[in-house]
Amino acid sequence: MIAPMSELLAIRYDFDVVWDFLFDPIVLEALWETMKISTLAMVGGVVLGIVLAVMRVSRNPVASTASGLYVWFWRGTPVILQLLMFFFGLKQVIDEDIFRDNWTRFRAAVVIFAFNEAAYMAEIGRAGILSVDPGQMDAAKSLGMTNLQAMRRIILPQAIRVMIPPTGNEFIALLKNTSVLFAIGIVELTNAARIQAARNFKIMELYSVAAFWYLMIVTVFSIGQAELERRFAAGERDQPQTLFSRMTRVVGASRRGEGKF
Amino acid sequence: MVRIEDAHKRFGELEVLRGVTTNVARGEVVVLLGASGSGKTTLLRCINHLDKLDDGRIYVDGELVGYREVKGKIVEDKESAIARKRAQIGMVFQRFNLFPHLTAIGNVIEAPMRVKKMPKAAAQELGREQLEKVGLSDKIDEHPNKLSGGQQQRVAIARALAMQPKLMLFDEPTSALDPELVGEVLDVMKELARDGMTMIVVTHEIGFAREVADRVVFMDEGVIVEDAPPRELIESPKHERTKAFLSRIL
Amino acid sequence: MPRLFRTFLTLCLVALAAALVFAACGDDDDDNGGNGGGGDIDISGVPELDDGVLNVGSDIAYAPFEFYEEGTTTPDGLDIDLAEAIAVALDVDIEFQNTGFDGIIPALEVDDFDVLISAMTITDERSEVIDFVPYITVGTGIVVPTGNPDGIAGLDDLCGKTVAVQVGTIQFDMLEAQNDSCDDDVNIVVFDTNPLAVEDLRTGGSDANFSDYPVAAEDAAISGGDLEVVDTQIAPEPYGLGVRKTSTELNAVLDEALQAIIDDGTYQQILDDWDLPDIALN
Repeated sequence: MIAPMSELLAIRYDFDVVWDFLFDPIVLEALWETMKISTLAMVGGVVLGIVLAVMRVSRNPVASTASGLYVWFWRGTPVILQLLMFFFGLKQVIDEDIFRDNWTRFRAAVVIFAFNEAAYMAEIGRAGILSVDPGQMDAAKSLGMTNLQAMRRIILPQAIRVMIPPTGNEFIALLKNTSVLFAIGIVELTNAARIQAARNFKIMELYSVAAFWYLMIVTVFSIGQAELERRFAAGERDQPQTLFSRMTRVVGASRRGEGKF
Repeated sequence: MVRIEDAHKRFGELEVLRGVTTNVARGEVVVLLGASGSGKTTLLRCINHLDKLDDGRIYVDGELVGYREVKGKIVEDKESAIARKRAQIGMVFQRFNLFPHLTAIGNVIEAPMRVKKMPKAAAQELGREQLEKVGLSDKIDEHPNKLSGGQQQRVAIARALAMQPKLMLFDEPTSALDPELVGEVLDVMKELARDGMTMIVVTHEIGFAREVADRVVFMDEGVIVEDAPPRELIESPKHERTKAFLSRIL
Repeated sequence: MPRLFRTFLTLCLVALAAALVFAACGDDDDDNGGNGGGGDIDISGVPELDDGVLNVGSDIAYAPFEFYEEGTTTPDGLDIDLAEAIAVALDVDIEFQNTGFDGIIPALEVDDFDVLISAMTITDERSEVIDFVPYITVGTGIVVPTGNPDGIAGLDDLCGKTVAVQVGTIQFDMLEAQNDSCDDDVNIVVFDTNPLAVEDLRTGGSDANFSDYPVAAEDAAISGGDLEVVDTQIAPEPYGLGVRKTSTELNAVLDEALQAIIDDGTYQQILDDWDLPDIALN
């Protein structure tokens, strides 16, 4: 389809290719792969990150230093380098079949991305913990709680509320960073489009499909994040308004026949 | 019950406690009076080891809190031991420090369940009891942000009492309250005193001191200046500094 | 406010004018010399060679066809030598532009360079988009770990195995086609560049690597004993220099130049130098 806009510009964009590829099994498979890796890595990263954050603020110098070193390395090197080093590099160094057979692409991707993410989450966790009023720890301790008990029951639940927006951001960044997984042979969303583009040369059309799916995931996720923020705000003065809560409120009010919402 | 021997505490360059020595007997109610910076809050916090002493010793019911004696030397105790001793000392803070993500009853039963491993049903019973005693039975499922200042502080007192402490420490419990809410908190404290609780109260509420305290201790610049029954100290203070302070706040 | 707006408008117009001038300059069509007497081939009617330079695109990570000399940014290889010989025959200078293989045809289409030489097999799909000048005939080869533990002798043996390939190559297409006749599908693992695909084979992530035969042989040779190449060349096909469909004049002179270096023996000499005498165009 060529739509000449004038004598200077001839626009070629094949919408048929876009529709065809949008729900192509290769794309959906790659989409699923991207989602799996992103989600598993994020969960791992959050859990490990919170542990690292608690270690970082602890009075134990060993814990604090170990955590600091971890963050320094995993935050200070590019993730693609980490992938190459710990997938190819490690397999080169460890010439054992048991290791090589079990350190699959997929597992390496999840683990390395999780380790990388944990470094960022550790900093977010630390900021979250420090944002909790010190009086909370005083009260918890005065009631006879140990540091760990206080962290788990009192400090972290409050810290998490503050951590939700930056964590959401991190997930979105991680999702998009998965495009570098091609370096270790994983076909995720961007590269599914790339492989196809190498065959029919419809670059713009195919990458539009990949872009569409990234945007879809991010949009759905953002709605979920807003709901999560609202839930964690129970007990706080300002309850955030989300699209969902606004809609339910309007529907509820109109049902009750109230004029002004 | 509480024995304080030559307590010293420094924050960087600033010496906040410069050798405080005094005792509090079981069942006694002692009011700590003094200007800000006099060290009274720090002294309170050193009793349950929220702040660490630089020198001197504090015994609660015959035991050091936060330390143990090893071959004649004082070393810092293990965290679990410190926590155990702290559980027997209740503290009420100026800014309440209620846990915002828990309801009133949630706040009260948290420590009994986690620290004393009380089963949930028993803890709920205990929680209801304590909140009834402070007059808040109708607010047990409310979050702190729905309660007035006076109500929050009463929950805080119930929370501390739920651990059945031997000693209660109060750090300016009514200073952050609107005047009309002060009374309800003081009432709870008076009843506690009547029931025989050992209490050390840092406060500016002279009326409370006169009515309930067995002794009033006046501190200034890190030392105890005067220590006498309330009638005596308030009406006929012996020291210049005491007189100066009282004239400012009365 | 109108004053500010007028200034803004003026700046926009100036910027636009400047952009148009530069755009016009890019398509400079006037003769500016370029080639003198020397060459026997008349390149005066070839617009791409007006500046006296043959701009060549290549995925310079495919030894022995094109690669960077160790520790340098100097391209070397069979394709490189052939391209340089052609440039000499046309009496022009030559410049190489390194481009990822799967993006090299689109890059050619948008004028990043004027001809591509990148061990590219001439296929029907590619011929729909660009024109080719055939220059050598090469087959595909399979690289396996030394000792050939899976006993791979040909394409059929790759069924049920994990094979590493480079994105956008015919090897990828061949494996997909092979799956039609496989009970157990080939697990195709795709990489940016062929060296990464070989790396996957070396570290046990794949059972075989599938690339052009000379490349496969080279990878096996430099693997320090870890890899070997399966002896048979699969499906030899002509490779082509790629030009845009609109570059008809360039196409013609490239053909002439290639013929010239075949005639004077330079072509075969280069092939012999690279130990690949048998891949001559037939």
